[in-house]
Parts: sequence; C-alpha cells; structure tokens
Amino acid sequence: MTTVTAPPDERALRAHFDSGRFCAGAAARQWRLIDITWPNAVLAISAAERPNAPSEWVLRFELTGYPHTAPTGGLWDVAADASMAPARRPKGQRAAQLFRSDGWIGGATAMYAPWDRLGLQAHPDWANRYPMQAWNPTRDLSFMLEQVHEVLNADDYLGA
Amino acid sequence: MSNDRPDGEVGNAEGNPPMELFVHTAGNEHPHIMEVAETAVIKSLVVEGEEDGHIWMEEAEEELDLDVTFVVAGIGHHHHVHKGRCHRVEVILRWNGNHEHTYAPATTIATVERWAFDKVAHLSPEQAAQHVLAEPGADHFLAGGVHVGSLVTPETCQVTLDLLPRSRFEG
Repeated sequence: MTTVTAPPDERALRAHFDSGRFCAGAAARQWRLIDITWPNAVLAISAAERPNAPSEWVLRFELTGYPHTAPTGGLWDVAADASMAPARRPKGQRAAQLFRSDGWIGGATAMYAPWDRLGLQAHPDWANRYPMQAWNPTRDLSFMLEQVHEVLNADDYLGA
Repeated sequence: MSNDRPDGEVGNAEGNPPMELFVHTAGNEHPHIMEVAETAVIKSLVVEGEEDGHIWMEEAEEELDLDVTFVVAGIGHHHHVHKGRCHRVEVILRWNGNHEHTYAPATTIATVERWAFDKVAHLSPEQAAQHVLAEPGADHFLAGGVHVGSLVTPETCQVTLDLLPRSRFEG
C-alpha cells in the first residue's frame, strides 16, 4: 500500500490551523475555515455591520510554497465558484484599495497589499517600504487574516 | 488539535468534555491552547514552583485564586487567561515624549490603544483608525488581542510602545 503524504507547504498550513493564534481568531468569529483543496484554501472573514452588506466576505487563497512564498488571495463568490465580480467587492477607502476593481491585473485573485504575493511581485520595493505589513517567511496565514479583518472592521469600511 | 494537556485534568467524573482555554504568557504574543476540565482547579495551569505561577482572566485587574475551580471562577470554553509573574505592567508610550500608564498583565492592546489614542494623542475616531501600536524595532503592528503581559522583557515588568501611523500602500 502506498502512503500519500501531504507536501510540506500543505502540512505547514494545516499545522497553523491548529495553532492558538488561528483558533483564537476563529473562536472570536473573526474568521472561519470553509475548505482546503490544496493548494487553495477558502476562508470567510467577518466584517462590521453595514446596511445591505454581508456579515462576512469569503477569500480564496493560493498557498503554494507556504510560508516561504507569500500567499495570494482574492474575494470569492462561493455560489458561482468564481472570483467575485468587481461591482460586488467591498467599498470604502482602504477596502476598495485592497480589493481593487479598477482593472489592476491582480484585482480578480489577489490583494493590493504588501502581504500578498501578487501585490509584492507588482511592487518589489514594498517589502522595504512597508516592512511592518509585508509578508516574510516568519509570518503565518493569521497575520494576513488579521490585516484583512482590520480593514473590513474599520470606520472607513462602507460595506458592499 | 495539538494542545497542552495538564496531566489528569482533562474531562471529569461526570463525563463532561474538556474545555479549551487560550493561555497567554510572557514572550509570546499569541496564546496557546490548553484543555482543562471545568471542575479542575485553576492551579492545574501552573507547574509547581513555577515563577510565572499567577493567573488572570483577560482584562481583569485582580489575579485569580488558584485553589478555586474554573467553573467557580467563571472561566469557560474558549476564554482567555494570562499566566505570568508580573502583577502590574508599566507601559511607556512614545508619542511626542514619554507617557506612562500601569496595567494588569491581562490587559489587551485594544484597551491600551484607547488610552493612547484618546487620552494621550487626542485622536479623532478617523485619526485613530489610521494609527497603531508597535514595539520598537518590531516587524509588525500589535493586534488588539495581545496582552501587555506577553510583551514584558525578561527581568522587568515594563513595555515600551510606539504610536505609529498606519501605512497607505502606494505604487
């Protein structure tokens, strides 16, 4: 019988899902894991209450090489099993910048931020300009979830 | 889950499942998970003779009596507690000079932010949303759930924090 062993990046992510940091966020209902189909993971992140806006937004992450390679992730329409349409993405100064709908090449699958793989690839200087929020291999997925949760619960978040 | 389990303290004679606690300690911003029985005494979180053998509920000023049970103390599933040696933590905030405030070790950064933003820097809600706290030289901002007692340096009960503007990413 052949034993199938998960690759190191998948094992690292699954181990993180057992950590106190991730579980504390989940217990506080800041986020919840929906699915892992390697190399993708789908998670919902809760948002501040706004009129006619969802209580959480779903993100689909691509995690090849985790944690040495930065994850990348974008808003996901679970019902359509596709990237969320630009018109339905979150509004607000920082939320709209994070989930761009203005034609930025990464807008459909990635975040415009230094913790996202595509954000960093598009802006190689961001790692030095924004070291407090840039991805590095000592980070874990909860670091990224905390950044997104903060944006979706800030005063400048306007909902859908 | 890969949790710490105090020997002999998981579950109880009535067959109640163990509960999980988030235990914060000095030297680690993030909690670890411990499974305990609700009828176990709080002392079960402490190794005998341990210097860090004092327990607080999150945001509480007074430390807990180690000889009472979790259920009697009002500690339930997924509650956060702090284990440490410092009874009080002196926070030095660097913002146009030094500003000091003393907190219980289980005080969260979210509570410290309210003092820093409102009482020290006098920021409007809009301005406060654009600022964060961080330790000097750190590579990340502090999350609201971090306990100040988790940030104390060895041999001291003191924490220095900087009040910083949040970056707006520009390409």
